Amino acid sequence: MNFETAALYGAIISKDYAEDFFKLLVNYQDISASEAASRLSLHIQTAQDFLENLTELKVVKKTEVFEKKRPYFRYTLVQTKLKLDLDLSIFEKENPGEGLSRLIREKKENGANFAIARNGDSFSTVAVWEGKGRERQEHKISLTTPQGKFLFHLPFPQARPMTISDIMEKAVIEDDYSKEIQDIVDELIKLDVIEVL
Amino acid sequence: MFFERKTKSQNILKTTWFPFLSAGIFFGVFSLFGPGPAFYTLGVIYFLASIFPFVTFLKTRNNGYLAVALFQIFAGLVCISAPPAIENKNDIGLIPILLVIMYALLMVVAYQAFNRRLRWRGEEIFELAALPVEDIGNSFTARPRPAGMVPVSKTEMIRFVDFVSRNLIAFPFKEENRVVFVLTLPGNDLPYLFGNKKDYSEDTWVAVDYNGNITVNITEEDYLLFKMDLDFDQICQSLGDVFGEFLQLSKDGKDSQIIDRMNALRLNPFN
Repeated sequence: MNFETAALYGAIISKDYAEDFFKLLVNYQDISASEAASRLSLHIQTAQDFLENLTELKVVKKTEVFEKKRPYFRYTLVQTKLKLDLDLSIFEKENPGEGLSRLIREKKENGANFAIARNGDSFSTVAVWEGKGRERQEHKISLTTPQGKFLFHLPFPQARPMTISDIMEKAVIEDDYSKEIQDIVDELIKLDVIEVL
Repeated sequence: MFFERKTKSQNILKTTWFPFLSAGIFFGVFSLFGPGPAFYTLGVIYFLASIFPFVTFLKTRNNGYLAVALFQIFAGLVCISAPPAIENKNDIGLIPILLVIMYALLMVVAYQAFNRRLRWRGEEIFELAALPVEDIGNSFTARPRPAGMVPVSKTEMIRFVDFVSRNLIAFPFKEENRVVFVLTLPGNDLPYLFGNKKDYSEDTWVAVDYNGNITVNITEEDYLLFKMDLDFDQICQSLGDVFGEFLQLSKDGKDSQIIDRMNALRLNPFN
């Protein structure tokens, strides 16, 4: 199951009328949106959206029927067990290759503002301005201690670039933190604060 | 030592405005109200002006500033004693003694000034840092940079802080785990001396923690003091190296060599 599907499941189940809705679906052979809405005192559009989402997830199937030439849909429950199975390990950063061996340094005139931490040997936040004109907003990222130490040792613009692993070594950061280091590096590459060479 | 200066000269008025202003006020009052009020006014100016060098002496223990404060106090006393003597030539009171002391102190102050002992040495530190940097390229970034390590004990650090402060090399801020040395240019020291500026984050500083780690921060304003766009990474590293070297010399008891290195630059003592 991908994340979007899981998110849709979550959104459906979290509705305060979801339990009562499923009770109807389990006990009725089939039901229309207007019948469900009247039974549960919901707006017909709310019931319609709920049933359409379940159809998209293949929890119910819809059948078009006609009443005096006017078509409408009836919904039948086809799955009585819902299983939410989401593998979060797919978000893990890959380590070697594209990861720690990338040569990086700070990008010239990036406009980022690094705030030094109390201990003086790392940064606590990095603030970047996003957008233009009136829409311009400060995006402040709070850093974990290893991230702050890492950025403290990031080569300056035009300085000799270093690999992520070399910077980590220089900043005395253990390999266990490599994933969160790569996360902040990727984010700052996206925000044009770090450049990859 | 012959070298090409890499920092811009400071405006001479920054350090010489006081005598010019005092003379202007003296002659202005003299022409309007006569010699008596003019000497009294000048005397009051000297007394008030002695506060600044006295505070500098208290904060830094720089003996030169004690001499300046005493000179200004005695110059003030001479000025206050002058009007009665002008009116009655026989009533000179203590003026001859005051004049002798004042001139003696003036000699001391002049000697100290010509030897750059009354001037914050930020400019010389920048010049020393810029000496080995040749690469050019505008690469300024407003963030501190780690710049090496010099093992140091707490006692050695305390001694170094005292030396740096007494010789007006930098203004030290003692923190829990490190000492931050703020580089001060002439004319920019007042807020720190009078204690109404405690946030150094907008200034150029070099921090040394008690493990000996050196961190350097150079502001854009100070980076623009250099005549050319020196490689920012190298200039930060070099500034850290200068402090590392000073700290090492201080540890080895070779404090005089630190002063010699700065004096060897032979920068003009007044601008």
